[in-house]
Order: sequence, then C-alpha cells, then structure tokens
Amino acid sequence: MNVRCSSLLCFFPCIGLLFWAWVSACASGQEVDEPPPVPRPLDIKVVPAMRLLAPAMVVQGNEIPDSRRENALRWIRGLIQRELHAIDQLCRLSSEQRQQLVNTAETQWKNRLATTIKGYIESHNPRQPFDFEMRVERLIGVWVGEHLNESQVSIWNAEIDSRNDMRKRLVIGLMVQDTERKLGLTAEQMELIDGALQERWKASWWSMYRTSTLPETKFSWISNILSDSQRTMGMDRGVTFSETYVQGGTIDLPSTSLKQRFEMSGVESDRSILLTGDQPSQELSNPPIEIRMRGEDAIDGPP
Amino acid sequence: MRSMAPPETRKPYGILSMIGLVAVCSIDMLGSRPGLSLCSAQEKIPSVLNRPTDSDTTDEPAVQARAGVQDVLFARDQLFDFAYQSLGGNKANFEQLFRRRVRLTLNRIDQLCSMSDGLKDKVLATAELERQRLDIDMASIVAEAPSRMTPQQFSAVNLKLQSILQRFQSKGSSVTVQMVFLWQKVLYSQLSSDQLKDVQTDEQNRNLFRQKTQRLETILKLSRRLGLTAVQRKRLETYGASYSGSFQEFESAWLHLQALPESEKREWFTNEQIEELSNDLEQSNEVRLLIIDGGN
Repeated sequence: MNVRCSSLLCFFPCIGLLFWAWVSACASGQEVDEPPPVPRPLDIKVVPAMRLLAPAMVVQGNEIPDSRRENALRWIRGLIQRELHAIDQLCRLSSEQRQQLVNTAETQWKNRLATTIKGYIESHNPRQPFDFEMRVERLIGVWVGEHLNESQVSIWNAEIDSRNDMRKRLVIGLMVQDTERKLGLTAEQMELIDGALQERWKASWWSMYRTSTLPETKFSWISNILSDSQRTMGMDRGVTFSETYVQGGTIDLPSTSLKQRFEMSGVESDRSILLTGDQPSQELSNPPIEIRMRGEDAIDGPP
Repeated sequence: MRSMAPPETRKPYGILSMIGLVAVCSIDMLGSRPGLSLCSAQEKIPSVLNRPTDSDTTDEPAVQARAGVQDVLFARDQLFDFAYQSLGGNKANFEQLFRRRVRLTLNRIDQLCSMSDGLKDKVLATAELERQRLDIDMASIVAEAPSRMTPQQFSAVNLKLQSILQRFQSKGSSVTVQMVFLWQKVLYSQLSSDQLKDVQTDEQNRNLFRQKTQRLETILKLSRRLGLTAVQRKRLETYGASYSGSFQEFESAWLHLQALPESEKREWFTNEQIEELSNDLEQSNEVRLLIIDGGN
C-alpha cells in the first residue's frame, strides 16, 4: 500500500514536468528572436568539481580562532612585562620614570604592534613562526629612548648588545654544526669556520633562525679551511638531507593575563587606561584596528 | 523581425529533456519498490576492500572476526616505508646518507691522521657489506609477516625491525669514539694508539662544541621566558657547563632550575623571575624544523 502511494505521489509531479518539457520542446523548435547561435567547439557548461578541504583549513581560512589572537596578546604582554622588569632591575629608575614607562606601555603596545598581532593571527603558514621577541625589544628601545636619561639608555643598550652577542654565537654555532654534518669537520676546522663566520655576521641571520631557517654557509667562505676530499664532497649538490617539520614542543614565551596591568616595582599603569581584557569579548575577537596616534609610528613592519 | 531557425540548427533539447525525465521518473518509481532500489543493488556489489584475497584463505580473517572490529589492515610492503621513516625518509635516501656518513668519517680521520687508500677502500667495502646485510635481515623479518596485518601484528613486526635499525639511528652524542658498526671497528683497529687518542680528543672537542651551542640555545630560551639580564645569562652559561646534560634542552633546564633550593633561587633570580619559574611549561602547537640525517 505504501509502495503504491509513493509511486502515485511521484507520478503526478512527473506528469507536470513532462508537460513543461513538452512545451519547452515545442518552443525550441519554433520561432526565435535571435539569429542562429554560432556553433561553439563544445557546448557544455563546465561545472567546477567539488573540492574537499580539511576542516581545519576551512576554519583557518574563514574565521580567526579567538585563542590564537588571545595567545598572541598574552605573549606580547608577557614579553613587555619581562622587559620592564629587566629595565627596572638594570637602570635604577625613579618612580616617576616607572610610572611614565608603564603608562606608555599600557597605552601604546597594542597599536604599535598591531601589524605583528594581525600578521600572526591571520597567518595560514604554520611553518613560519613569528618573532615576537625582536618586535617587543625594538618597541622597548623606543620607550627607553623617550623616558630614560642618557646613562640609563647606555646601560640598556649594553644589555641588548649582550643579547645580540649571544644570539650571534648561537646562530654561528648552529651553522658550523650544519657544515660539520655536511662535510665531516674536525674540531679544529669547526673553530676555524666559527671564526670565519663571525667576520661575516649579519643581523638578519638571527631573524632567519627565528623563522626556522638556518642561514646557508657559503662554500666559498670556508673552502680554504677544507681538505681536498671535503671540498669534493662540499661541491656535491646531489645529496639532500631529510628535513621535516614537527609540531609541538614547549612555549618559551612568557604569558601575562590581559587583565593584569603592566607594573614596575609596585607601580602600576594608570587606572584610567582601558585594558584589553576589560573590553567586551566580542571586540576582543575582532582583528586589531591600526590606529596611529599623532607622531606615533608603528614599531612593527610586515611579518 | 522574427525569424525561423533553420532545421539543422535546432537542437533537440526538448526531446532530450523528455527522455531524461522519463528515465528519472522510472528509476524513482522502481526505487520505491522493495528489492529493486539502487541502494540494494549497490550493496550486492562487493567492495574492492572487501574482496577476498589469497591471504583470506588462511585463518587470519577468522581470528580478526573473533577479535572484533579490525577494519584497518596494513600491507606487508608498508613495513619498509614505516621503518625507513626515521632513517632519512626512504630506503634510497637512507642508503645515500649511510654511504655519505662513512665517507665523512673517513675524510675527518684522514685529516687528523693520514690514511692509506687501501684502508679507505677496505672500510668502504665493509660498510657496503654491512648495508647489504641490513637489507637481508629486514627482508627476512618482513617475509615472515602476514601479507595483511592488523595494527597489533604490524606493530609487533615493526618493533623487530626497529631493533635492528636502532644502531643506524645513533646521533653520535657520546664523548667516546663510536664502534657501533663493523666498518668503524675495521677503521679504528688499523690506527695506532696515538692516532686513536687524537681521534678520541677530536671527538670530545666536537661534542663540546655541539653542547656549547645547545646550551646557548637553552639559555636564550630561558632568558626570553624569564627576562634575564646579561649578568644572569653569563652566570647560567657557566653553571650550565657543569650540568651539561640538563642544559641541552629547554624543558630539562627549566625543571633543573625549578628544583634548585629556594635560597639559591633568591640569590640568582628576582622575585618576579622566581614566580615565573614556579609555572609549568605550556605545550605549543607551533611547527618547527627537524633535520633527519640518519646519525653522525
């Protein structure tokens, strides 16, 4: 009985459709307004094939997860807070200077680093990590120049130089290790290559390292240190090492709550300055608006 | 002005539409009848995955059925791909890296204490034999495995393979001259005691260089996380040299510093840094580069 009913239910709409098809068949055979269509090589409407995308990619492409934005903000605030403590520890600030610094930091941090934050949260390339540390360091350098006296600035600059020196030693050390793996160096050769690379150091090598790329040691820089057989091996470009990207590891960035004010030795930022964490949650999920105050430039370039 | 289309340019859209509709309706009506639906017809066609194979003639499927749901089956050939993943990605790459590794060692030792060409050839030939032996060993393990395996069976066979591949994965982090392979034994047996001592010293210095670099990386990470000053970093660098094992990785260094006595922490760090140090490290989902060179 059910089978019959469903057959009938299908049948009546079909009659209607058949009538419509008959009418259209007649119309196509009758008079036409336009001249006869120019025959085309293939009169087939091309329908794009259905594409399957991984769910994660769809999410990444269309909307920014709140957690990614919040993480970026927390890490940047964490880094700024650590830097403020380091300044306080090294430069012997007056309470007035502390107040000025924390207020400036609280007011400006988000605008000054807007491009970095935006770049991070909208980045679809997980293989390109963002160097928040360097961006924050440059911003702090600007604030230090604005609010600290000359001797304090020189103390802070010495601290930055010490960091850069360590970074240089690290990147060159990794480059030497990489060369050792490729050419089979002795310890003495490693030291010599270390020295050769120190002379050719470029600050951009650190940025390259921070984005998971080790700068290349040019063969010409070190060829005079190598033996004949090592040189022969070094010129063999056919060998590739298996490189892969792995996910995971621990976070080496400090994280500070968005509701926690910047402080230095108990001096907090002014209560009149609105915190990011105080803003409504909907606003928090929007990308940062790049507002520049008068005479204020963004500290961060393109990511 | 209306014009009639010439008969040869008329397209039989109407007729085709009618035929199509009739076909659709017929299929729909047939589909409503029990036993004649398209779905039931599809169900009768055996899936490619469910087709019986020669291995099904054995008692494996019966065992699987008794065990419960065993949908995922691994082919025997997948074992090789899986085994070589940790050794340069694939067999060809591994072989290339292995030969290169032998060459690199020979070059380095030749630089330290001159070697004859005869000895070099002997070492290279031994290494080649050793690699061929690995192929034979692997093939014999894989040959014993069933052609289609459950995850458990696959894991068991893979474990056997890994046990023979383990020595090929060593990274050369020890401070002594490695004698893991036969070609290494042949090589070092031909050196005099003075030459061997030179090689040993060189090996130690190379390791010290590597450790120093890794320590620097760890200290810079600690500095980033804790906001250390130049004096604190310098102090940690000196301290880390004495506890090299702990300072090779950021995670172990963090745990090491957490475990320091309270008085020592107060001497080394500020209150804010101690507070930060009391936190556990969070896991990241970021991506980082890993280079697999099949040992050193």
